[in-house]
Amino acid sequence: MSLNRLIHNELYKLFHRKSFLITMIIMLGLVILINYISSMSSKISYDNYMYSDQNIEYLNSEIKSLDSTKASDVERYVELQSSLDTINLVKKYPDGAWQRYIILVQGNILYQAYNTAKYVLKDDAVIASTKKKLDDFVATLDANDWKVFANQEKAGYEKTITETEAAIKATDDKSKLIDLNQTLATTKINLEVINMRLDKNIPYGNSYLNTALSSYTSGKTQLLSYDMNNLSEEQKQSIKEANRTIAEAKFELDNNIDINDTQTANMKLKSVATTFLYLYVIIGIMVASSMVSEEFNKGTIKQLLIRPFTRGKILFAKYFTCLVGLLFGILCVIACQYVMGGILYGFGTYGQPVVLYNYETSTLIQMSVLKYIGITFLGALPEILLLMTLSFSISTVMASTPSAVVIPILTLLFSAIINSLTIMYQLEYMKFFPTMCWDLNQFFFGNETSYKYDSLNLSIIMSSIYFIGMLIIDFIYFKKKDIKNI
Amino acid sequence: MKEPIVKCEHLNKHFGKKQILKDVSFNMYPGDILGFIGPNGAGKTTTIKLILGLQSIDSGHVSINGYDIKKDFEKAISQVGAIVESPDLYMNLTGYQNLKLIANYYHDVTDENLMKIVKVVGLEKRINDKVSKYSLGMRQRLGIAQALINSPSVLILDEPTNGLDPEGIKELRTLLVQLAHEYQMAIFISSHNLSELESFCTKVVIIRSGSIIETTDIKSLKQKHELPTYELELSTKRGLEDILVSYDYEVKEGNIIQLDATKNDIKNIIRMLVEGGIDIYYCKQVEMSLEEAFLKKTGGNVIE
Repeated sequence: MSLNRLIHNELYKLFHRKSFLITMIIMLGLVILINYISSMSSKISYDNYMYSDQNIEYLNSEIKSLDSTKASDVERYVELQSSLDTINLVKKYPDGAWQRYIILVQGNILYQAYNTAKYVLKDDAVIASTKKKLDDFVATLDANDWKVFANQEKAGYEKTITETEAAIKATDDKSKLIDLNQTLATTKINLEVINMRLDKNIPYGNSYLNTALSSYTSGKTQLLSYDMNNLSEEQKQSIKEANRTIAEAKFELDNNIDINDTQTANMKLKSVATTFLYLYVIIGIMVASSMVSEEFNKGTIKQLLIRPFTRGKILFAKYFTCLVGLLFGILCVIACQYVMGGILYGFGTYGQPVVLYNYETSTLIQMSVLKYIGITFLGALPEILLLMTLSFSISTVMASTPSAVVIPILTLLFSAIINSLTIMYQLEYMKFFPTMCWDLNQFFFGNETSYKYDSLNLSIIMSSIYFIGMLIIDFIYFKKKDIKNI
Repeated sequence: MKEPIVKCEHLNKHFGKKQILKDVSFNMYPGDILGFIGPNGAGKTTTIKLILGLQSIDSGHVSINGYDIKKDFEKAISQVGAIVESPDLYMNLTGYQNLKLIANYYHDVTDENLMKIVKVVGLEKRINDKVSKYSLGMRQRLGIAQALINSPSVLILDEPTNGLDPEGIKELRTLLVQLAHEYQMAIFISSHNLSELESFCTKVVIIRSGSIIETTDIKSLKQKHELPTYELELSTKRGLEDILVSYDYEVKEGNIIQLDATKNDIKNIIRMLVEGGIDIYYCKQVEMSLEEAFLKKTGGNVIE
């Protein structure tokens, strides 16, 4: 095939172009740098001030300045001493130990009681009983069985439920009934959650599963607070968000997968299409901008045009080469992201599915990372292709590489302004404007767009029209062009 | 009579209102070496671009090997090799890579052929250097190699002697004559410098201001200037007109005159001058080149 030979030559020229290779290296360097910076910034840990030496020192000095025997000081003294005792107890257990979370909830209360007995009441019997409770508490902690506490919590909820149900039966007061029903529903949710914790064996702590449990609780509780028959727009939105939180939390709990952790190799790879969108546009412009104009500027176009190929074939080969160059660039960025993500966050998370919430169907969608990347690239394709084709057309028609670089980049920069103005004023006629049509990702996965006149079909049609239109003009122009003196 | 391999019929070309070519017609036959002569701006390169399909033809036809350049571009151009204006090379590639790129456009060019061509143009020692390191002469040679890659039956060279040293020009002549003789290649060479071409061209087409003013083969051209030209330096020009009343002469500068005459005539002229009281410092026969002969015809290097 004669076209094969043309394309082969164009690719040969492209990959021997220094500027192309340099741009690719810079792009990959950028990918590496962005990954590195983002992993560094996520590793900055936020030490809990409460446990810090500074805080302990502060508490100690405050306590020293107070006199526990003075009536005016004693209340503050008890409070600070209890805090200090709690902190000291917390620090007995290693970072992230489940005990720490129990102590924060229950320990402080026990110390408060003990210290109150010791410094305020000064009653030996009370001191002894609170001390006993405290010792028992510490002993249970040391036994290292978090389920004891979970079962305590569960028993508490069950008790509340029985009591509340009894109270509901007993009362006729309507407003009271509403309150009681609310309490009952909330407690039932808490019971469900604690049962989940026990079933799925999730110790207390700050793991994502704990976050999921609390998200689940807050989502469910939030739903209780709405009057479903009478909802404002804002409330409808909140309900959607709550449903999403619940669905995602449930998924995490069921599958033991952390879907909200952005600091994993898989999550970084997943968003490769959108994170580096500008890079792909730049690669496309880089390849296309000099594809034809440089041949004109150097005069080499003449040697090309006196070979046995029609001009249409030559331009097609050149455009095809642009596409291959772009694809090559994209694959390089993806490969670079894959390796960098693996190095920085570990390769272990690759292969986990991508989980998305579809607002339209109110369901979670699960798919492989590869498929997700494919779809998001498809969504970004009109933007990348339109800008690349614009650059290619300018390169062909104006034979000026600088124009072919600058105009598409300006278009890209202005598109952000144009789009935000269009959305702000909801201008209907702008729905045909290319920059409003070229992002298809806004329509995928049940996303809701902020511009009410656009639709996926319209965007695809308009993008295709611009795309084909530019190419037609380009081909006609190139076919008729007189090769002037160079 | 053989069929012409290149036929240009009544070519016209405008750029805006300016007419660049007016009714340009000529034919080339296999084995022809056609010198296309004209001053700068006469339309030489434009004619070449029209032949090669690089520019559209306003009216007229070009056919190569019987194929119309407009309608059957791919077939017409496949038998052509050319340099237009100057060699067009990718500076960042080596000479060999440049040739390989061109070779890739044809399915029957082997690496052996390629190296043969490299030897023919005398670049075998530097062929793997980057073109950016080449001298102008070497680029010109590489350009010729490019034009020869597809073993064309028509070779079109636009000012190919630019940048070549005298040795290179001599080699080029030898090469072109060889190509024309051995392969019956039709070679089209444009130049503003006729003296470079006269020794080996078989045909001359002279263009001026976009019009062909002379199409002839070199033999008949030379016959027109059979009479040798003599140059004489005289002591004075006074009375000259009366003495040389029956001869055409031309005053070059000062007291130097030139005239075309037979041996017999010049003998008589010298005697008449001396007898007429005009002394002669010297008398010599000058070689009147075709170029000088044509400068009269083309009106010098006037760019319009």
